[in-house]
Amino acid sequence: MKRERLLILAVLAALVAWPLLMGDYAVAQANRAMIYALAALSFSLLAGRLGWFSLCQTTFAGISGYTIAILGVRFGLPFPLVVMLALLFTTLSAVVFGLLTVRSRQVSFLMLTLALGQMVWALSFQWVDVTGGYNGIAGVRLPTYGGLDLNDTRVFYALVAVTTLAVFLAVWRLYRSPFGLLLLGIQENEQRMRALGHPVYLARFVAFVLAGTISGVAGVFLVYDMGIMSPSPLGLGHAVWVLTAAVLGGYRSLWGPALGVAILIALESLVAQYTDRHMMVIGLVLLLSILLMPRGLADVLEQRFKRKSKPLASVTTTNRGDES
Amino acid sequence: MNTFYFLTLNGLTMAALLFIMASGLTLAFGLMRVVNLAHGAFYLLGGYVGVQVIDKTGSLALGILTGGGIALVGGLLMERFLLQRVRGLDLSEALLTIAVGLVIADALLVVYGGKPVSLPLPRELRAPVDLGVMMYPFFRVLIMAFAVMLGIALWLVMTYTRIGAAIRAGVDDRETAMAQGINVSRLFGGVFAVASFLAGVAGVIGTSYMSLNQGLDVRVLMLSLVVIIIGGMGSLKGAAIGALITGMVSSFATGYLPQFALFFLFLPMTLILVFRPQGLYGRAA
Repeated sequence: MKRERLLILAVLAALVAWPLLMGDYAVAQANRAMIYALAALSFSLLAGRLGWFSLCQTTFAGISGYTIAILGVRFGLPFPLVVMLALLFTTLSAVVFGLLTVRSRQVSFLMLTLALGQMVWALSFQWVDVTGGYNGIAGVRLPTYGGLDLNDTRVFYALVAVTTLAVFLAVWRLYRSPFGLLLLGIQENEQRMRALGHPVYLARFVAFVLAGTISGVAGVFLVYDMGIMSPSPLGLGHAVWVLTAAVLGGYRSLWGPALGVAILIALESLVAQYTDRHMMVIGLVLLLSILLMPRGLADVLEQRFKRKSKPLASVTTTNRGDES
Repeated sequence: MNTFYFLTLNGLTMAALLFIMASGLTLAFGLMRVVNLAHGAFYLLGGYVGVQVIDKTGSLALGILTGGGIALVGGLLMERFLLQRVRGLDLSEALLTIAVGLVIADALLVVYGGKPVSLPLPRELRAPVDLGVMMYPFFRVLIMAFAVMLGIALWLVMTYTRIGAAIRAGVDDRETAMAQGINVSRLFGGVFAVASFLAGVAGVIGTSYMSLNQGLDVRVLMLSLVVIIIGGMGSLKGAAIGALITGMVSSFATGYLPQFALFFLFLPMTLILVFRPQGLYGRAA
C-alpha cells in the first residue's frame, strides 16, 4: 500500500528531524515517549494478541532498571555487561511469572499480574539493603566513549530511537509470522487451536517472556534516562499509565501504543500548567477510552483510511496489521 | 512467648479486617466474573468520610454507617452508570473499575490531603482487656468478633435464604440460574452494593489498625486480591481461610522479618497458584 509507505517515511523523517530542530526539553520528552512506547508495546503484545491485560509489564522494566542500578553503581560492573545481565535477569523473571500465570484467563490474569507486580514493588520498597528503599539508587549513568558522552540528550535520543525502531520492526514481523497468527487464533478460540494440535500454553508462555524482555529493554533506557532507580516506576500508577496509553492508542495495532503514549505525554504536559492532578486525568482518559472507543484511536483512524476496502468482519482480525 | 501471642492476636485482627474487605468482593466476582479493582479506593473513601463524621459527631456507630454508606452509594453509582454499559465484557469492566479507583483516590488526596489519619477512639474502646494470655486492645477484640459474626451471618444468608440460594446458583452456573428465572443482574447489583458497603466499613474500623494515607488503597486492594486468589474466587469459606493465612503471615513476617514482610505475603499465594491454580476452595474453570 502506497499510503502506508509514505506514512512510514514521514515517521522516519520526523524521528530524524526532531533532535535537529527541537529544543532540549522536547528531545528529552521524546526520549521518555519512546521508552514508554516500548513498555506500551510490550503490554499490547499480550493484550492485542492474547487478550491478556497485564499489570506487571512495568514491573519487568523496573527489574531491569534495578539490575542495572545495583550492578552498575553498587558493584561497578561495566556498561555493556550490565545491560546484558539486566536483560537476562528480566527474561528469567518473566519465565518465573509466566509459569505462574500461563494457565489463567483474562480477568484472573489481570488480578494475578497486579498481585505479582505489587509483590516486586513491595520488595523494592522494603529490601532497603539492596534497593536503597524509598530513596533508591542514584548516579546511574552511561559511559563516555572517545569524547562521545552517551548521556547527552541528543546522543541518548539516537540510541533510544534506533533501538525502539528495531524493536517495533521485530514485533511487526512477529505479528505477521505464523506464531503471531497462532496467538490471535488462541485469543479467538483456544479449544480449536488445541484441537488443531497447537501447543497453546507454550505459545502463550513464549509470548509472555518475549513481552517481558521488551519491557526489560524499556527499563534499560528508563533507568539511564532518570539517572536514579526508585520504587515508583514499579508502582501500580505506572502500570495503569502504560495500560491507559495502550488502550487509548489501540493495543490491537502495532503503532497504536506509541500513538497513545505520545498523546498521553502531550496531554500531561498541557494539563500540568493548570493542575497537578495527573492521576485523575489518567483515570478519566482511561474511563472515556473504554466507554467511547474501546478499540482505541488507531482503530478509528485505520477504519477511516480503509473505508474503501471491504468491511472487516471479526473482532480480532480487524487490526491484524497491515498485511493487505 | 509474649511476642508470639501478640503477633498471633495481631494476625487475627488483620485476618478479621481482610475477611471484611474480601468476602463481598469474592462473591461479586463469583457471580459476574467482575473484579472490582476500585475496592481499595472505596475502602479509603469510607475510611476518610467515616473518620470525619466521628470527629464531628463523636459517634462511632454513625461514622461506621456513614463510611459504609458512602462506599455503597459509590459502588451502586459505578455499577449502574458505568459497568452496565460494558456488561459482558469482563476486561472492560475491570479496567473501568481501575479508572474509577484512580479518580476516587486522587480526589480523596485533594480533599483530605496527604497526612496520615487515624481513628479517634473513646478511651474505653482503646483500653486493653485481659484475654487470659495477655492484655490486648478492646477495639481489636471487637473487630475480630465483628468479623466472626459477619462470617456467620453471611453463611446463614447463603445457606438458608432464597437470596442465598439464588446467589449460590448464580455462582455455580450463571446461565442455568438465569433460565430458572433468577435475575442474576439485579442480584449482582445487590451483592456489589453489599461488597462496597463492607469495604467502606472496613475502611473506618481498619483505621484503628492501619492509618489512612495515600497509597493505602492499592495496598488494601492487593491484600484483598491475595486473599481471594488463595481462597478461590467466589468462595466465602475460601475468603475466610485466605484471610486467616494472609493475616497470620503478614503479622509474623512483620514481626520477625520486616524487610520482607510485604514480600512474604505473596508466598502462600504463589504456592497455591503453582499447586492449585483455582484456589483452595475454588472450582476449576
